[in-house]
Amino acid sequence: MNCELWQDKMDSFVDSELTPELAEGFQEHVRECPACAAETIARQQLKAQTHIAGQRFAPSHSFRREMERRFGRRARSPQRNWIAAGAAAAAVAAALVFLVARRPATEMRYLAQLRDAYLATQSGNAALETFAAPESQVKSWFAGKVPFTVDVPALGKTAFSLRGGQVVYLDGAPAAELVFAAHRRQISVFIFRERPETRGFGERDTPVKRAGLEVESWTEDGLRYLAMGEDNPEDIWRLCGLLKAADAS
Amino acid sequence: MNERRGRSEEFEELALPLLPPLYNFARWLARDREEAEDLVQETFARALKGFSSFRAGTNFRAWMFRILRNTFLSSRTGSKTALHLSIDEEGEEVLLPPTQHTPESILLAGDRQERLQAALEALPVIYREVILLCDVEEMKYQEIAEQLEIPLGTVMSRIARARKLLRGMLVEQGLGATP
Repeated sequence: MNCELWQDKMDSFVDSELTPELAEGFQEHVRECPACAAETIARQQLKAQTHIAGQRFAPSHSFRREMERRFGRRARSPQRNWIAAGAAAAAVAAALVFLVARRPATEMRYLAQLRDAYLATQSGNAALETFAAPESQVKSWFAGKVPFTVDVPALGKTAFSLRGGQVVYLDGAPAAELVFAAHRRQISVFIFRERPETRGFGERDTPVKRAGLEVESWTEDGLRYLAMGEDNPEDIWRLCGLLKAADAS
Repeated sequence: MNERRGRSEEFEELALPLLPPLYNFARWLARDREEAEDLVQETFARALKGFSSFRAGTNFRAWMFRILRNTFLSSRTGSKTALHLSIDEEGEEVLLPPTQHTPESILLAGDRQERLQAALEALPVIYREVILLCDVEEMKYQEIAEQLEIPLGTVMSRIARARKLLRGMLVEQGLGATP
């Protein structure tokens, strides 16, 4: 088969649509044809770039909440015992008053420390460790510096890159800070051992405004994760999705 | 009532995780945030209404994307005909300027995502949708053909042309106006 016929199959090869026999034949051809090899690589690169660039838009926090309200469990309202519901609501309100009165100062102190660390990183005053091969180097670099394992997901086909990491201290206890970049903005992800004082950060599926920043937080195996950024809730949400998926696998 | 609630819960579990990719696709089609949100809401509403007709075990994701696209088309007056091109137009070749620079090497020089996103936005919608379904949603050609209700060969030719158009635009952006 000559070049012209193989070129007709080039997009199908790039998209893994050829039969195994044809794919093998195509690969044999490009081994002998530098022009077709170069063109194939170019198309593969464009496909990979398009995969990243095409993931441009994410639903806003408010729209997501609206969709969950309309189509999620909150949209269904089973018959209620209104007296019992009223009593339950009153109990929840009382508990909230108790909790808010008791905890906010401690939670805010942690949040303030995290915010300071985030701002120091943003201003370029942090001495970040950079990783040429994050997936293999991050874990070993943090080993011994923090009392838990720090992993990063594969970022190759995503809009994110890892700028670096460092150890920060929250009330004297070590925490890992990973600094990701996407769309010319940075996101800091802090990882530390969960404490009673940090449970107030809650479990969120989407970022919320805290202390003037976008924050999303969750726990996994006794560790608290907190992602922090500015004006980029969609990217924070996507990044947190990657981190959660990596933890789950 | 219990059976209906069970189906609603099943729909929620299947559909809500698809909100981000559906929204992304809708946004590329609609090019407007408000319209994209309306499109996605309408898609979910139609899908929930028609969920009883969905066959379990088949491709729910592809089904949702199909509903979204059909909803998009029906939101446009005469859109179904507007999206079809004549065979002659589809067969028109796009000539790349002779150059040693490749779009990919230009992409490596700064603003790469933005340039490619601008090029994607500039694509006619019939090419933009196939390249998004193929390269972003990673659907197979056959899935795309079923989604768009077009022959497999048309999917392949549109993908090839979309990539040629993208590369042509990227080269043009990188080197200035083509002489």
